[in-house]
Amino acid sequence: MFQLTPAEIEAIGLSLKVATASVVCSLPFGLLVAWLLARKSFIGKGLLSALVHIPLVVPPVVVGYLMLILLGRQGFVGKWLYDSFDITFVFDWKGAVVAAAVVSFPLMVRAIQLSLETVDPLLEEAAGTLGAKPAQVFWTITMPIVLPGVITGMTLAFARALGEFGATITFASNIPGETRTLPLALYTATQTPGGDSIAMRLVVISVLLAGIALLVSEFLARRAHMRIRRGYPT
Amino acid sequence: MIDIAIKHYMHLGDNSFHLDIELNVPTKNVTALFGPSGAGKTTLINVIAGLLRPDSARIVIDRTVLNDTEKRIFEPPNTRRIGYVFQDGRLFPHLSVSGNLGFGQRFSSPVAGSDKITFGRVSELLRLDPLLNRPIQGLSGGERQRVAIGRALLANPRLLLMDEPLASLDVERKAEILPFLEEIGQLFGIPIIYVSHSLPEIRRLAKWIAVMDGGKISAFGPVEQITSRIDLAPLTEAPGGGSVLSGYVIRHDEKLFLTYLECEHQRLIVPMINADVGAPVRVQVRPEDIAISLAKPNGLSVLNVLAGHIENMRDIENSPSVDVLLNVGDQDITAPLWAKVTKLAVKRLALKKGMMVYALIKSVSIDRTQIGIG
Repeated sequence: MFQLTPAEIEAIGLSLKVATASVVCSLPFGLLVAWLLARKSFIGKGLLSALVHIPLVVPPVVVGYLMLILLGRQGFVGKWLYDSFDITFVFDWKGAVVAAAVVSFPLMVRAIQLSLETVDPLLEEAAGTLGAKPAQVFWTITMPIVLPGVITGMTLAFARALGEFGATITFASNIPGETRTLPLALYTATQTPGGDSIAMRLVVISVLLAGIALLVSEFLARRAHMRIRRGYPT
Repeated sequence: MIDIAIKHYMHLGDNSFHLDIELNVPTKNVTALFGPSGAGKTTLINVIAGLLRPDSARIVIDRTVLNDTEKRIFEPPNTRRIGYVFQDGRLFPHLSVSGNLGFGQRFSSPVAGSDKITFGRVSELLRLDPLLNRPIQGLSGGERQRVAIGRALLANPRLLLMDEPLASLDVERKAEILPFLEEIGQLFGIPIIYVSHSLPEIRRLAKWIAVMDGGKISAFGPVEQITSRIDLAPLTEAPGGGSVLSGYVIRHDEKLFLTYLECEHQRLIVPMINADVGAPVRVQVRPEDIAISLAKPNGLSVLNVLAGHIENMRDIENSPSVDVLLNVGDQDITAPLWAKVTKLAVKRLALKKGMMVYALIKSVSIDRTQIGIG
């Protein structure tokens, strides 16, 4: 039977940990940026949109390298973080989280933004006349209506984070138990003589993991959808 | 009293629009906001609700200042306690009927006298019980508006704004909602500002009317008075228009299916209506249904004979008709009444301004839809 080796368990656990942490950490920012892009008009909106979408269009290795320059221990921001808070990303699982979060961010923002754009601001206006404060309107009207979109965004980001390779290996390196997630373990196996069977096993695990993530999100999104039933007539 | 003074300048594409309003609305009864499309009716109530921040405004309801640009006071919509029934209902799609109704209750802070508006009473009045667990998507247009009205009421408003709540409904659905609207103001004692461009609707529901045109109030006063003014005729004339007489029920004749009313100290007999004795009523009378007689008629089938004098006359070009504005009633209590007669009749009877005449109205020419209760 399919018996997982300690190294495989380690890679799976690490992958899940990194992907989950990256989605959880980027969600508040994703909501904020999506809301700004969908609802507000301000100077530099185009620039913000371009900045958010950069990781989607440039090779992940480039993103990883830029992050290394910026967040590495000698980097502009990285040095300050290390000196003042003793935080370091390179050779650390937190680095893998940051790499996964940056690369998957545009997918999350995109899905939430599209969903937000379908919410009729007039409904929020109506909620205001009924006595709800802006924050209450957001949580009782806007959020429930965009929930399927948020779930979709989180799933896409999670899947992208699970598969993240280029930025991670460039920025956080390939250290067993620390930053060696499934794709990195798979890559290592293919670079090792006689590692084909190990690689094959990792491929199966990766496919299974992604499939389960998709099924779970599909289930959640459907449940949220059921409660909302889009396309209410005006 | 609701004191409203607003100045607001808007650009709409190539056009600009200037809203310049001064209006004092009584905190009792229904006040209609009437005018052609583009007159600024919706803009005005959006400013009152706080949905639009005007260049300069002072809005005070019973000494509560909601907006005073000079003193830099601007209450946001959620603290104004002004209910708003939108034309399209704007029900929340992710909530059921009871969820929508409860939303109003959930966030409104309790105030003195708010115990009058309970979920039970609103639900009973608007017959919402069978709908409570239904999703919004399955509701008909009329049901949606009933839910929207209930939701606004349950937020305990100090003023209720209604933006053509019946405009999107067909005739039957309108007839379904109108009776509810008639009862609301009376039962809960909430003043209502009702936007409409349907005069029959206004005549039936409203006591006061503000006529709007081009961003300004061109007239304000009791519905009977304003809708009978000659100078406003181009604005207030509508198909099936006419005058409104107000009075109250004296008695019913159940055998002959008639109701006796007293209107401006004179008796008016109409087809039987479902109202208590003493209940105030308003009757809309079409100009075509009125005949004019110089003497009190004898041997005539017409039941309603109202004494009055001719206030004004206006020839209608290229037509056989003349509009005659009568003033019926005693010397001190009179009501304007529009009649339409032929030029030939005016000539034969030698009708002139100031003449004493009798207005004859056939009872059967008045149907139930022309009579408003309350």
